[in-house]
Amino acid sequence: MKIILGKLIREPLFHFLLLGAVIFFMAARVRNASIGPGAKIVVTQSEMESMIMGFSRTWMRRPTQEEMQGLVNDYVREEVLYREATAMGLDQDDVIVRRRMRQKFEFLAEDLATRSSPTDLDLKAYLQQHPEKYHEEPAISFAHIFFSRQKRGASTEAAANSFLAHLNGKNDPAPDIETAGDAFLLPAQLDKASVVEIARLFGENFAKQLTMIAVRRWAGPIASSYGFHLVRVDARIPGAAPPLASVRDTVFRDFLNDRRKQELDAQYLKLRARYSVVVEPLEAPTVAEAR
Amino acid sequence: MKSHKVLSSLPAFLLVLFVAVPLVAQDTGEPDKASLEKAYRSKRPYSPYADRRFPERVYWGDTHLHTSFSMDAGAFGCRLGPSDAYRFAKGQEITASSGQPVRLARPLDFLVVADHSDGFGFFPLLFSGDPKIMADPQGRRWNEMIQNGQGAAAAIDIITSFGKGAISKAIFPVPGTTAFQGAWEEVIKAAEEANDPGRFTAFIGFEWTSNTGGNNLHRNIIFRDNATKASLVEPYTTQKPLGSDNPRDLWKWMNGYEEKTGGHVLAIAHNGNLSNGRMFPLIESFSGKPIDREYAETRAFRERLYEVTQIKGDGETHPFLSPNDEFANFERWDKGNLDLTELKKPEMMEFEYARSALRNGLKLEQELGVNPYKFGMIGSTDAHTGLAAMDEDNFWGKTSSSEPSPDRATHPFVKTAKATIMGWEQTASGYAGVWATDNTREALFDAMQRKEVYATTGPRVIVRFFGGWDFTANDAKTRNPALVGYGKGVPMGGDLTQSPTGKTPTFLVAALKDPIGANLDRIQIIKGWLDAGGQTHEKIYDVAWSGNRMPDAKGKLPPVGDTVDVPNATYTNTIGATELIKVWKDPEFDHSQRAFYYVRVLEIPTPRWTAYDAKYFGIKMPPEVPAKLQERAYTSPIWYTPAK
Repeated sequence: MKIILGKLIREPLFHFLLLGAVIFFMAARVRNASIGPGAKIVVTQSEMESMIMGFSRTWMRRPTQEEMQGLVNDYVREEVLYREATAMGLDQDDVIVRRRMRQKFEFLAEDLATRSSPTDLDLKAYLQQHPEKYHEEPAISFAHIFFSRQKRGASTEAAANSFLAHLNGKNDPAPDIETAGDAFLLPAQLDKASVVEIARLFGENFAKQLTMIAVRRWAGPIASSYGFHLVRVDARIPGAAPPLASVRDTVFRDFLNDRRKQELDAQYLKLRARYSVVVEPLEAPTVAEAR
Repeated sequence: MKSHKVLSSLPAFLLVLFVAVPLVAQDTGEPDKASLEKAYRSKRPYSPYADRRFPERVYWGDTHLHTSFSMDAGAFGCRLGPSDAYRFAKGQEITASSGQPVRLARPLDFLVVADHSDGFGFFPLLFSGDPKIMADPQGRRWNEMIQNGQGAAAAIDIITSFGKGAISKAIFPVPGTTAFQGAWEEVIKAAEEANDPGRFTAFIGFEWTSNTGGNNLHRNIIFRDNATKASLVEPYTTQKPLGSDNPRDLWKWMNGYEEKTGGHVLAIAHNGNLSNGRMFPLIESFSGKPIDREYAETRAFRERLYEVTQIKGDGETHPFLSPNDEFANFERWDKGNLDLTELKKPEMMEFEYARSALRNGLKLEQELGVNPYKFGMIGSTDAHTGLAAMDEDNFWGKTSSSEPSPDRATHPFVKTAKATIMGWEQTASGYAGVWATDNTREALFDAMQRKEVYATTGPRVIVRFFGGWDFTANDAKTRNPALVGYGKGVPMGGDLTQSPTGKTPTFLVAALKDPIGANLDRIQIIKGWLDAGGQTHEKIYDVAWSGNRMPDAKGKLPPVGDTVDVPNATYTNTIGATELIKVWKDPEFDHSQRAFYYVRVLEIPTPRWTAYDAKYFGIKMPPEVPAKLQERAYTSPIWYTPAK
């Protein structure tokens, strides 16, 4: 018997178990207030209010007396089992609980980050630091007169050319683009449309031509998937960094997002510094220490 | 007591006020015409666009996409989540769940990630071997099957178990659990991050998947609102006691959401073809009673759109219902219900397809005073891959296991003792076209609610459709058909009432081919009406077509032709029209009869996705596999209702 005991005392597993028992006992003592005989469960008014809210969220009405009783009973049952389960450490290995705890922690940190609103100065600085995020695509404002290949067949291009000559022959080439040319379902005029957008509506070739022709005069004809177009490019707006006013909402959102991330990272690093982490070797290749 | 008296006398006071004072002149005295004329423009402003409030362009999107957050999608191997789905829709290249790089030819303008609310976020948990799931015999069995490479068998078991309501309660995420809430939070967050007003709209949404007995009564729920409102609720489910499989309860939930938050939601049903006679009932399957006015009113209010075409078949009509429609036999899924546990009977079909529902709606309106089936039409994908990729030459299948591979076409897609649906039967369809004033949640949602939308089976054909009393042939020649269309009539989804004496409805209809797609064969107007004897009818009119084809003695227009080279999976635009436009007048109008009119636009024949697969993988398809198709668009109807 003695031998066995002596052997046991030298056994590392025994130390481990003993230590575990001590920790468990201490933890249980700490939680004693909330579990075991004599522990008290108070269903507070605010808890009941939150039950009512939860119920109405699903059912879209307040619970009846009977349903309220059911909610309270269920709450008490959950509370009892929750406390017991926590005491037994059942929350330790649960992926959902872990993830939820992490989420909750991060929400707290995020709250801190969004508590104060950034000033315009902050946003301007942010805009300047991240020009690539807000760089506006090159855009073109133009009007066009359509000549339908469907309607005119082989003479479509000639018809467009002759109308162009007519336009350029006048002193004031301002045709009513609402009436000139053939019926067409795409807008007769586009304001600051991106080249990509124009390509999606009229085809690649058409969009490419628009980036090259002279501005503020009727030109063409340019072919599209549908026929020929006389085009007057009114403005070509090069891709540029926009002023804050025109992207304020997006910058505001991104700024807060970034600050949130930074806040989370900073907080994590602070907490992380309190731990020493050992990553046990996996079969090669080894995993670098997590940061 | 005193205040009560004051209140009760208030209406009387107001009445006196209204009687005594002319309505217009409040504090300003009588207006005269000259001073009013200064206030209103006599001529349109110089800039033709200054006063314009109507939609000038159509936005393309998908209202029905599943990601790994949907139980079945995850089971079938989808690993892409909501954020990935939005990135892909915006045109970015990503890696599909099957490991292949994938990108859209053209980005979409909007997307709704609509994951099944039942079992929301279930699969990521199952896959990770979450302890709670592993503690449950059923969960452990499924997890082990997946780990052992029997994912497909597990998937089928999960889906059939779900259909039977036989998934263990212990592992099934339901509203109120952290797993469910966490998933909803992530879905909302992904939409908020992807939403970029003016450029790309990411809607918050989910699918309510009522599927009792394997009969499909699914609805997609779309929020007009942002996270602030949407996060005040959790998605409505079908599993009792928290949820219900009865649409009436869904509508109650929608009402509740709107009352509580001041927000707005809409519901879009889909796949009546897999409901075995239950999607558009005359007799409610839940009560066994004829539908009543309350049902009709609520459905008309809550479900203003129907998803008429998608991967699990096209739902416009069926040859059984429309024997005189030569194009009715298109991408049909008519073997049974969703899980093929019950075979189809012909008498079910009347209550499954859009056209017959539109017809029955007229009948119900006559009886109940409200038309429950007064819906507009959109197409969407219902892909369970996170990839809204529906082009025939870039089709990524219904599930991740049917992403491009040499055997996806010849592999059974659903197989039961009763019937089999083969992989090749998947339909590369469709998208929703929305005529909205802007690309924002609000503008798109509002356009959907006024039904100014249409469905396509994939191509981005532009379609305009206006109804009015005074359209003339010349209106088809004006530079901007929309200007005259809105000026003289109502757009698709609208109503014609109060027919002026002796007048007949006229329609301005126009279609423009997809700029990078195939030419057009024809525009048809499909009319349905209710006769004096209470019978409904339908008739198809060819309205505009390409080339010099002449209808034969029976009025039948010869086919457009066919340029498809199947082995090479190519076609040429040497036939067909790039654009079609026409003013059409109903030749058989009876002003006392209810009617609807919608447009169907057909493309010339093009290779089907199965032809592209055969070419790419160098395989030969079995003879029963179709290699070409005529893609099409369906607009929302315009209804004519006689004055009482």
